[in-house]
Amino acid sequence: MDKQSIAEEKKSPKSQAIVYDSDWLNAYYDPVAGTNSHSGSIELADIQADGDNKLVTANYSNVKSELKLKVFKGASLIKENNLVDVPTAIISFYMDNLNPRVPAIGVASGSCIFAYKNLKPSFQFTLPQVDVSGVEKDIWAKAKEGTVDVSTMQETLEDIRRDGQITLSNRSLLLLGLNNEEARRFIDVFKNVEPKKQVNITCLAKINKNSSDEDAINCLVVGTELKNIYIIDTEAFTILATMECPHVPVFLNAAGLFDVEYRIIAACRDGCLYTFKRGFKAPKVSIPLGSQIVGIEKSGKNVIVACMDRFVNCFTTKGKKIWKLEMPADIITTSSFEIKSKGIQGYIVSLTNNEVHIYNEKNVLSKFKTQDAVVGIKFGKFGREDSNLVMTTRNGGLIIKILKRTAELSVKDAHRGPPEAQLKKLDVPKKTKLYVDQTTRERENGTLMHQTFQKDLYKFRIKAAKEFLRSLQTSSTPISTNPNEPLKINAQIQGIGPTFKLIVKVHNISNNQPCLNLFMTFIYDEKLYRISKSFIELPILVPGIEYPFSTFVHAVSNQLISDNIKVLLCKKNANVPIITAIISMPISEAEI
Amino acid sequence: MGLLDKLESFLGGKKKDFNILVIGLDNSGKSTVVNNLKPNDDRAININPTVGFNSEKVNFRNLNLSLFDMSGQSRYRNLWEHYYREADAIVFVIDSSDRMRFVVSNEELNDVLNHREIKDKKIPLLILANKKDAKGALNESGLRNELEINGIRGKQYEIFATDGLSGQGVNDAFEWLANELKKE
Repeated sequence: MDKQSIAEEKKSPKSQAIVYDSDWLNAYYDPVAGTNSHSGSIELADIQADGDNKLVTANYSNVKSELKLKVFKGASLIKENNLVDVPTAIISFYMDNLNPRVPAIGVASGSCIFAYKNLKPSFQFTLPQVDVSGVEKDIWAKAKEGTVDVSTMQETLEDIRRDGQITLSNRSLLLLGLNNEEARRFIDVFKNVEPKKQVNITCLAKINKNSSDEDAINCLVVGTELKNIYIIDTEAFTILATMECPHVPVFLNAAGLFDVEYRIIAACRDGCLYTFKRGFKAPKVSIPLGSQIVGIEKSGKNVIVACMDRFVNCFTTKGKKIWKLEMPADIITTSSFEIKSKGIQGYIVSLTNNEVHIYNEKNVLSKFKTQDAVVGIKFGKFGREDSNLVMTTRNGGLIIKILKRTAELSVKDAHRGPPEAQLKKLDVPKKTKLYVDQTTRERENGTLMHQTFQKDLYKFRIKAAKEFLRSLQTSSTPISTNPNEPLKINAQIQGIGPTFKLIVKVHNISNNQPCLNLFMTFIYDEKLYRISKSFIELPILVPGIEYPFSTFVHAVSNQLISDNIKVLLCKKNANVPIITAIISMPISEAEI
Repeated sequence: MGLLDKLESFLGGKKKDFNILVIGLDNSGKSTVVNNLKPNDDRAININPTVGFNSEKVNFRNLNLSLFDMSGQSRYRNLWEHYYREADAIVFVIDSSDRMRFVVSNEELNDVLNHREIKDKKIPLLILANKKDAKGALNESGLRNELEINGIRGKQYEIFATDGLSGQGVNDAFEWLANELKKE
């Protein structure tokens, strides 16, 4: 108990104080390390089997002498190998069952995979060449016979290239770049050799062959420019399976065992993901993204896809979209990470604003700024420390960060899911017997009940209409419906009796029309009331002004009863009143 | 000096048993240094990565030292703090050739010194820049800069370059520690 509280006390002020960078120790930064490598050509592996993981990078460059495979132990370069061609990907894999377990490093460049073991080149595997298409073959056959001239040949090949349906062989492509004289000599040299297409490798991945152990023998998964995916046995270097991809694969993610069941996810240049399973040549699932893909990672059973439109999408392997997340800047590259000791896994995203974000699903765990834009990321064991983040920058720099032992990598941003209230259960009362009985009755006699209701509703409506018509005919409403005499009347009674004051306010509500020749009179029960002025003559009523008229009403009866008094507003020489107000009189107090 | 010590112990005035906590990253040479302090006959020939911790009792300059040789692997580092309360001195061992992990050493050392059991405790801190003969090793002054050692406050500390395998510098270092312990 005591110890726990110590640990918490120690951690809490740190995680609150600094948002950026607090989880990572800056172990190393060399802006000119000469590591021009993207995420696919960085590898962390124990290539000398001494428990000290080395960093291997394959560097691309325009200058051939700078194409190098570099091996770092800690911060120091311990080995450099020259590469013959631009490397497209590297991968560490186990190719034998010898002890101690020494992984080989496979470097893909051109149509070859070069395997290095113990820091030395050990094997070269070349993918089989492919026959060129019929049209191209015919042209070279004609060239051999000498029945076609150089310019026609170049034109035909150019047409094929522009058409885009068929990929030309390297030889034909080279020919297109030459001028007439050079092209003639080029054809002379090569016409006698049958043209073959070189298969350029675009990406590499690995799966275990028949055991899920971490140091079991691997199979290589190779994506090529000719839209094929090969699975290669690394013991004998033979092609075990070939799959046909609808477009050129550029990123591969493979999981499973070759001999049992595996799944390969390929991100292609047409902005689609294709999923392959064991025993199928064609993809099982295709997921269109609508934007170019910059990285795919596995997150549990789901696939995380980062696209050029700044969105990170999450799909199930069956192709159902789960969520998407927008980044504040363009995404350069992605990498996955897993910290087994903490039980955390997720993915790392590097952005063009020099930030690196670490996510688990939709939640950011950590983010920091880097000195330069990061183009290659690899997370894993480096040296003896388990959680290292190795990053290469756009200008060939190398950044190494080590995760603090005390770092928690907890979810930092606010809860973004549905609001809390949505998850709360409402307290709905139980159905009573009455409710159940009523619903059964409604179900059984629905038609009858509706008909009865409708009949009553019509009766009600006709009654209302009749009453309205009657009130219009007798002008017994307090507002005039006659457009020539737009008047409003409002009567009130003051006092408690037996003498009341009756105030009648008359309002001309027309805009510009005065009212003339009006008088006011009352209808009442003479046994009960006596009105002092039972006839009031009205002056001209100017629009917009309210005219009050008053009279006294005396209750003459001693009985405690009351009645209505009707106020009639009439026009002289007319037999129907313009408006009527009915005043319900209060019960009068007895005379003192 | 020897005579005086004996006289002192006869008078029975001073404490002679001390708990020394030996910590540092994995592969820094803690067990090797401790092994070197043992009498020649007791020394192990092969030293394997420590699991958990090893406890060794060593008599050094008439002091009975109980050395707690902790494991430096990251998954065992959280055990260190359980021994801070009893520690009379701390020995922090650094692999001076492992430049990549100086930041980790620094972080761990700071965590130790800022721990509430250690912070206000007047105990000597001995820093060993071990593997001084290894390729690419940094000397003690270089290490002082790399590790913010100069910023340590409120502790008697000293840094010694040592070589655990041959024992070079180990005796000098523990001589300093013994003197510090006797002062108390």
